Amino acid sequence: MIEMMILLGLSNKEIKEVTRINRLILEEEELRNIDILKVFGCKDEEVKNIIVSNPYYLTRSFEDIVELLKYFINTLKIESLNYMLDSNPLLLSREKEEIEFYVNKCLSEGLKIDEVSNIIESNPFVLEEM
Amino acid sequence: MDLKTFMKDKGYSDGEINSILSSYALKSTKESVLAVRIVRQFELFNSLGYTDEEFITMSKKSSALLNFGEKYIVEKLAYLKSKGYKSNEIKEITLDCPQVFNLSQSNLEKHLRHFEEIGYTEPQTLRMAYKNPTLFVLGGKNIDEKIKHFLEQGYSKEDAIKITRQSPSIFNQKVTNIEKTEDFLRQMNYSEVEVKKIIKSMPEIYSFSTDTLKRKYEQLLQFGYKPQTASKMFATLPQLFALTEENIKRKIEFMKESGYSSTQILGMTRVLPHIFSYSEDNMRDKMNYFEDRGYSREEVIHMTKELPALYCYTKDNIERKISFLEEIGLGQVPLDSPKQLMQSVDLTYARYQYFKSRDINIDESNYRRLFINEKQFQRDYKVGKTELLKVFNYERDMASEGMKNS
Repeated sequence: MIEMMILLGLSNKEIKEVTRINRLILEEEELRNIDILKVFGCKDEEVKNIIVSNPYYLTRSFEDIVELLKYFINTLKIESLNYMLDSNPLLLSREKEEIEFYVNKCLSEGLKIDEVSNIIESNPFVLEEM
Repeated sequence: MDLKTFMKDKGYSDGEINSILSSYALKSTKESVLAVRIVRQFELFNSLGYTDEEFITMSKKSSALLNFGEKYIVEKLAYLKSKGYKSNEIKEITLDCPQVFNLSQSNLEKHLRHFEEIGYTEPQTLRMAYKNPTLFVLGGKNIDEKIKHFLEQGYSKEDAIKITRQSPSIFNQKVTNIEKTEDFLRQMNYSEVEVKKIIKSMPEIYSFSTDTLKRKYEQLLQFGYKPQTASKMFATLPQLFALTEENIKRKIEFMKESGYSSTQILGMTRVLPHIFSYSEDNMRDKMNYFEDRGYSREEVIHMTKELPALYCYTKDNIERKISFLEEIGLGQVPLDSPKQLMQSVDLTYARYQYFKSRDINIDESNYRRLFINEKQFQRDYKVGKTELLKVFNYERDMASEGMKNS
């Protein structure tokens, strides 16, 4: 994992901080959580920003991440997902159900799904600000 | 010297000596035989790198250790070495759980294999056993019981493996204790989704007593957060449970010394509790970065108050956004509207170039056009970001610009 972080361009200082915040990273051998970001269009510098901002992402359940990303793409029809994740890397720590809960709340208030999607995309911190 | 005097000289108390010598493992061995063995055992463990104190601690946990033959001990250490553990790790494992010596190699192997049968990989199993050496000696039934508990609670097998892998001490807990933690979270009015999120994000939560967890929540209230906000902060960042009161207090003090008011700190950390996990060095670095770029401390406070995520983005990320805005004469945007720094430079660039291609000048008076939401942009200009990003590609254009300049 450390080698991968170096390849992504994290400085020694950043690696030290990231592993200080989440020491479990040092035990993580699988790189699936990084690979999936690339599959969904994130560039190296965006992946780096996500890791530095949200070190807990690296040890999150891969299955949960896939479910969350699929929800963004398939249900919310978010285009250029990488930009939204780069704006709020903490979204990647959300459960799919948390987003779904917010979406359903908006739908029950009369908004259409594309409007909700637009809200989340233009302000990815909307859940944190609630 | 007789055995009891030898042991007393080594540092055992009278009570410990009596308890050890009357233990099941030693009571049938003649004292004269035992005396020779124990002296020899100290020498053996000293030669293997253990101090007298360490060996005494181990023998208090497992008196049988005093009676094993050299070949048996050496073979057991060789077995651990064959599993890939380094010498210092083997020492840590045996110090923590000297009972490892009590089990036959085939039993140890059986216990490790049990994890692999459940679905852990061998490296995962060995790592877990290093973190919690009692796993070498815990029976399969105990392990299965915990896995079963998580499956019954609706976690997937992958989740159960991940949770226990990250916090293998769960295997030492009684199921009733595990349930107590889960019930506590439910009593805190967390939904089932949130309970699972908290547990998956921070399985170490099981090692805290419910009183400790309650105290951590009350501490946030004492710092000035409303009950609902405090609950939400833990749900957003369950790892907050692992931070000590001292940690949080120090971070708040640091932010106050840096110029933030209490209200600003509460507001920022409410939205972004992750600030509590970032080091002061990291935050200081970020403040210095902005100040080196010419912003005053008041301006830095204003910007980060509006967009606390500025403390989490990498400096490169922020630098690219600010430099580009300066390049197109919009250097005041980060101050006027810090939230615009959320938007990717790729999109800002693509939209800017689009306007430029249509002879629309973007300046201080109309820069918000660059940052309007996608739906409105499409409605106003009949073009979406996907098309724009294809035509006006920041990275590609910057690279070719760089080539031209070189």
